[in-house]
Amino acid sequence: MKNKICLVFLILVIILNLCSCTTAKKSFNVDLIVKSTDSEFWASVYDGAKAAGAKYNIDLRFLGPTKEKDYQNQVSIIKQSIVRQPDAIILAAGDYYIMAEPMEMAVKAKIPVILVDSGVNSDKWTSFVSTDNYKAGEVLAQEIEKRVGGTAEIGVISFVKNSLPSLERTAGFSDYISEKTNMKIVETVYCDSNIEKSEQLTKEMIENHPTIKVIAGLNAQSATGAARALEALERSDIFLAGIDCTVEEADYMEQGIIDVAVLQNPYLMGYFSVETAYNVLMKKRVERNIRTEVYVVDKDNMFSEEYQRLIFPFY
Amino acid sequence: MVMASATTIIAVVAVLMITYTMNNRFNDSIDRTTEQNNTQIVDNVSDSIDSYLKEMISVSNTISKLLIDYDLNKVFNIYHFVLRDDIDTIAVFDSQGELVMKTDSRLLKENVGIKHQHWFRSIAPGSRMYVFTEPHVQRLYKGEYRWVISLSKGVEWTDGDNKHQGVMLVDLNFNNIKELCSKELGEKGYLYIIDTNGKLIYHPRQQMIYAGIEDKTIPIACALEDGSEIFIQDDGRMLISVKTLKNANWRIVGVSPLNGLLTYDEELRNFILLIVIGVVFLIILLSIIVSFFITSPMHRLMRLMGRVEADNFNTFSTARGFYEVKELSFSFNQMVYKIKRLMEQILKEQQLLRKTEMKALQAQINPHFLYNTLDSIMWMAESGDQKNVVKMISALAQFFRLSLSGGYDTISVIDELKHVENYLVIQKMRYNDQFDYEITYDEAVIKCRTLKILLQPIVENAIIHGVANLPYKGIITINAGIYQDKLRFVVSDNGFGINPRILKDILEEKPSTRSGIGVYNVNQRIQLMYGTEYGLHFDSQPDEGTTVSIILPLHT
Repeated sequence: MKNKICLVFLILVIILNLCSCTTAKKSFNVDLIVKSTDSEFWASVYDGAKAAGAKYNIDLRFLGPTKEKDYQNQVSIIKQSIVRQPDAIILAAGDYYIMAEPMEMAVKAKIPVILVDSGVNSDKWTSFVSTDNYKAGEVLAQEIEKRVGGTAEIGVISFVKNSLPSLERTAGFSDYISEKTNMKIVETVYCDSNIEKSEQLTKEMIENHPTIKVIAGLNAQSATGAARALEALERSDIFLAGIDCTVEEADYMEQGIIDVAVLQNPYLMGYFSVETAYNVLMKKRVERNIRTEVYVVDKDNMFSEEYQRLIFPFY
Repeated sequence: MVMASATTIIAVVAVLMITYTMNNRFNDSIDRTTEQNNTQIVDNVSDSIDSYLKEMISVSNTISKLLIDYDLNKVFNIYHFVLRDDIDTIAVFDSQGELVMKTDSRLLKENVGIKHQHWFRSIAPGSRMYVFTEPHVQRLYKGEYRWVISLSKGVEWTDGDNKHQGVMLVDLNFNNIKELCSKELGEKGYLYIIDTNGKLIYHPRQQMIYAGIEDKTIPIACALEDGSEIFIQDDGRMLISVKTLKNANWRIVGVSPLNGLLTYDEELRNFILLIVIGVVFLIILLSIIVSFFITSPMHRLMRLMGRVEADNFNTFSTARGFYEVKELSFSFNQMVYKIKRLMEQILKEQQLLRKTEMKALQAQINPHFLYNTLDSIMWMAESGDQKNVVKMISALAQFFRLSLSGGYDTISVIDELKHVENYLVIQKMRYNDQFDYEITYDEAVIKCRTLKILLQPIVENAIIHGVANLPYKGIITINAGIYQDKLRFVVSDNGFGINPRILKDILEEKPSTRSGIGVYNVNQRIQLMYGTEYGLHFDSQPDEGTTVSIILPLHT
């Protein structure tokens, strides 16, 4: 009898010890893999992600190629991330087709993938947090129609040919222009999210189409490059519309070179993507598609209480 | 098993209740401490921010005093506020929004539109009043868009005879405010600043709020008076402390979660959880041990009890265990022993009863009695006394029939009286009317039950030793009635009486004479059947007669 009691006590002590080992604070590791680590837009996404990470006790790693055009590197970055076995991966795919395979590898390795901003050609992901890019293109076209209208000729500077936002915005933009207006898209070029290339392409475009009246830059780099070109050519008469608004673009907007911009909310996207990752890890139900709003800003409202908050990051 | 689970449940409930109560008590005290701490920290921070704002106001005051003489160089030379990293710009604009002076040499950008800017419009030029604006993006310089809080002050100065009015701008960036608000407020608490209209001035997560993620405590804090209050939010209880500043319409808000002991400190919660689990284990263990010492001896006793029920009285409990168990075991053994003894006694008494009854019957079928009676009948028949022969034979037949009475132990009082009457009829004839008899009874008792053949041995005795040899005629009276709620037969005669020496022992020991046996036997049968409070009672006076009372219970 006495031996039995001793045995039970021994087992009890062992159980208690084991329990105390697991009392460490619970936190998750999440890798945020973006298209470019050297961009105001992705910095803002990261800021939002960090804010949510702090709230939900998540350790974030901010990964990605330096330049957006090096999306090939993203494949190896994803693969390295999978090896490290994070609890979840948040991915902004640099290429709609190429990233599908590494993304599915992550899912196969039982790592849930939340897409942010840019999708991939696969449906294995858990949730997709993004701007409604088709709508963003449409809104941009709508603003141009409202502010220029008529039979104006339009040059489009898109960014990375096979990234989903680029595809969707171009589609949304050109669908609206061709179906609902009398304007015409004379050329669509791709700047690979490179400001210098965009500037060059804009100059060439103006040269090739001297009658061009409107230029639409479908992301920050496209619009910035176009603005630089217009400034250099002193062609502020050409109506420049862009998607996103960096501080540099804000300056161009104040000068009247950029006439209208459709804003996304990258900070909120980052925040929502981490929040969604947390909900997935906590086994809560999440929406498959989470869309953030777009806003229209111009020279007149850019310093309004509402929009200055979205354009200029608060440090 | 039932007992083990019952004690476990009771103990676990008790442990949980204690834990719950203690937790509540601890939480209350944590709440109080947190409240005190927060109030203190919020007070401290608001004091420092107040004095910071006061410093800024005094900077603007100093410059506006210097300005009165319109000696710009003096202003430049004396003040180098631009060295302060929390001040972005100090500049004075005239009432048209044209730059008058600046403390640094950065150029304003063209078409800056000062007149339309909010900070310029929120104060009247020359009014000597000041106002702090909400955070906004300052756009004085090319390519620079900084979030600042502007201190605008209406200023006046004279330039020769010309009186000028204008606005002085002091742009504060958030370097200092951020630092002042970075005080720790518990593990997850934070401090922020709103103005009295609920607009956000500074928040550690300002960009998050600007992007559209609300801080749900802001509307609550707006509605609060200065002081602390506890609110329940989706993510738990919050303590919100508010303090309004003196130098601006700003309010400092401190928010800290009050998750209580168990959620506040995860390690402690786990520790308490472990203790509770440990105690539960311990209780289960103890219950098992206790049940081993109490329940299992009980089971053994129960099994033994079953054996007793099955008439095995040689059962003996050897159950060991706690005091109660031992007591129970002891009592059980005593009980079994007593039952056993009682059973044996009952058995013995039953046997005795049968034996005495047999003897009574034997006494009836006494060959002497039969012989004498038949002899009498023969003489009667010989003398041709037909009538008496019939009477005698019929009495004899009835006498024996009632003696047997269908084999029952008891007969009705009336039958018993008839039985003894038949006997008296026979004996009276045999003794040639040497005595008379009289039988009376209370109507109430005739249906009562009584042992059979009680009266006959007494009457026999009364005849033989009482009235048989009297020189005069004897009388035997028999009465049946109720006396003190008991059935009483009284048999009296007027015979010789019984010698007191014999009378003394008549019921005590087995007498040697045959008729003595009859009396002794009657008494014994009554007492075996009904107990010692019943029986015979003799009352005899020599040469006057004997009265025998038979006391029986009143049964119907």
